[in-house]
Amino acid sequence: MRRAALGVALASLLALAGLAVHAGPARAVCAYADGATHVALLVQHGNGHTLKQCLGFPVGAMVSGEQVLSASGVEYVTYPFGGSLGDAVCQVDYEPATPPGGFTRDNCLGNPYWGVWAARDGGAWSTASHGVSNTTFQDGDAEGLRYGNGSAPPASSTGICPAPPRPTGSPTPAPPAPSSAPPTANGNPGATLDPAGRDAGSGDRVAAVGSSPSTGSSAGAVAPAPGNAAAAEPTPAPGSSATPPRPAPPASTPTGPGWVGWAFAGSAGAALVLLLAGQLIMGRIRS
Amino acid sequence: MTRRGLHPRTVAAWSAAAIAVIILANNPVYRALVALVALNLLVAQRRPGTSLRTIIGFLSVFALFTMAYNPLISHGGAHQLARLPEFLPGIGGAVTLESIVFGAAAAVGFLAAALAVTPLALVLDPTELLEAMPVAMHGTATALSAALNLVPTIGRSFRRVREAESLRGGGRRGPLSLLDVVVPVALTTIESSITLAEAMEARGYGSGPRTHFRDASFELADCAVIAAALGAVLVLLAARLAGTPLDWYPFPTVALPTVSPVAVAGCLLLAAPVLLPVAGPARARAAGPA
Repeated sequence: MRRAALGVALASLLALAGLAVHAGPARAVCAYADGATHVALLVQHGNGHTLKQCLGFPVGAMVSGEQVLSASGVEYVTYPFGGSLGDAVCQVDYEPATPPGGFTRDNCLGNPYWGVWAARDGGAWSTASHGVSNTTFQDGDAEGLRYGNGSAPPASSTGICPAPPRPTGSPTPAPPAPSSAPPTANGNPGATLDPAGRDAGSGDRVAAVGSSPSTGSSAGAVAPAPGNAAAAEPTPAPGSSATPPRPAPPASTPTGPGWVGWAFAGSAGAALVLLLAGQLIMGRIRS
Repeated sequence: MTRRGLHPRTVAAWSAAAIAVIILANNPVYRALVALVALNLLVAQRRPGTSLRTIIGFLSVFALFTMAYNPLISHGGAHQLARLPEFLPGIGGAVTLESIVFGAAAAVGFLAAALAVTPLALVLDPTELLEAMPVAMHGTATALSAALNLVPTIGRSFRRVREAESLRGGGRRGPLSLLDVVVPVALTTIESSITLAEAMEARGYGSGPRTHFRDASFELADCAVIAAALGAVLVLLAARLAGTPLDWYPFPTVALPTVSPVAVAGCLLLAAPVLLPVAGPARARAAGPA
């Protein structure tokens, strides 16, 4: 009997260990560790509220958008569309409300919907060409999720993550002071709170888990979303006096369909059609 | 420069490059350009006596089927145009603009891929293709060629047996009548295979290395076409590695695809056999007696 109990306990321990190993890659490491991979996450709700996080992953890691979301602790639901499209985001931070019967292929992507955007290496937002599970991010990239009709990109991702380390020889800024705020329930050591509207250079960057409001509210004012302590519902503060003293970063512009490319492709296509017509006419004349 | 046809290996290399470009970029704009280039090549270089009508007709029907079928099985997308009753198995659900556009893009991809390999059939003669194979693959290529040749033979046998049955007053009607045809067709096919094997043996097949009536030589135009085809693949590959968006999906909401001028230029490199002063189909026939 004792042996059986010991076996069950051992099996349970092994199972737990297995789970821990499985969850390993998605777990973020210290965001400010030297050389760690930093990926910014920006979630913009339909009402304009934004959640910003800087997430750290192992050095040189290439993570999927879903891994970033998972590491952030923000509530989300995806639906697999298969193929190279991967998973689509149906719900983030409880928006939209879960329909009766849950999300399906038909109701996952309604209008409005959660559009997935990517900003590569501090660049402008561009729409992701794959689902959130198949879109990959590297150090310096940003993942943006905006609830809307897909026409406008999320707010700027500038400043969510710390600037990359300067080259050797130049003074390296000291890492931000760790916050005294206790970690939230899901205890994600890699997530860093970056409340927009606060001077990032003042050392007020808080190392904590969960989402943060972008409207200048203090971390203490963040109310946890129901059922998810990590995904905090931000409190809007329109006209907040906590204006960032630094100049506002340039607004991200969406990458358009590339009019130069379209003009080039259109000209080339027209030339090929004319060439084809010419060949057919000449062939008819010859015959 | 003398206006002669392309070397069979050049045509094979061009087709492989066009397929590689189609695989590297699923953006329908690039695929449409490849399809247009392939059409131009087919019109300029196809063998005398071959017609594009059959292949274009078949491809058009298949493309239309793809466009019509996709919206019925794919129900994702933000713009719902209609809704099929849920009780319809497999096809019940929303019919969306995005799924229609995706079906059209898939049809463009299919057309481009099919047109990219069509020069192997319409520009080259089967014997030229066989000649172009490396020596080590001659045996396999001959066996494959003989096997493929059986397909039209089976079709002809099937028609002949059906005609003979009709002349005799016919047997069973409907699908069951196929059972009466299968056995004679199988016997005829085996007989054809034995005849072919005897003919090959009588001509000395397998007695030594394959001989050639005339060796088609590589010319400057062939080198230029192969270099351009390789360049097209490398440009697309480099663009993909550099992060240039080459893929496009209309889900969840349809939007114009991003078109990169570099990728367009890469696709246009495939037009080298059309733009270079190379014309006429098979090199051996165009060149005349050696």
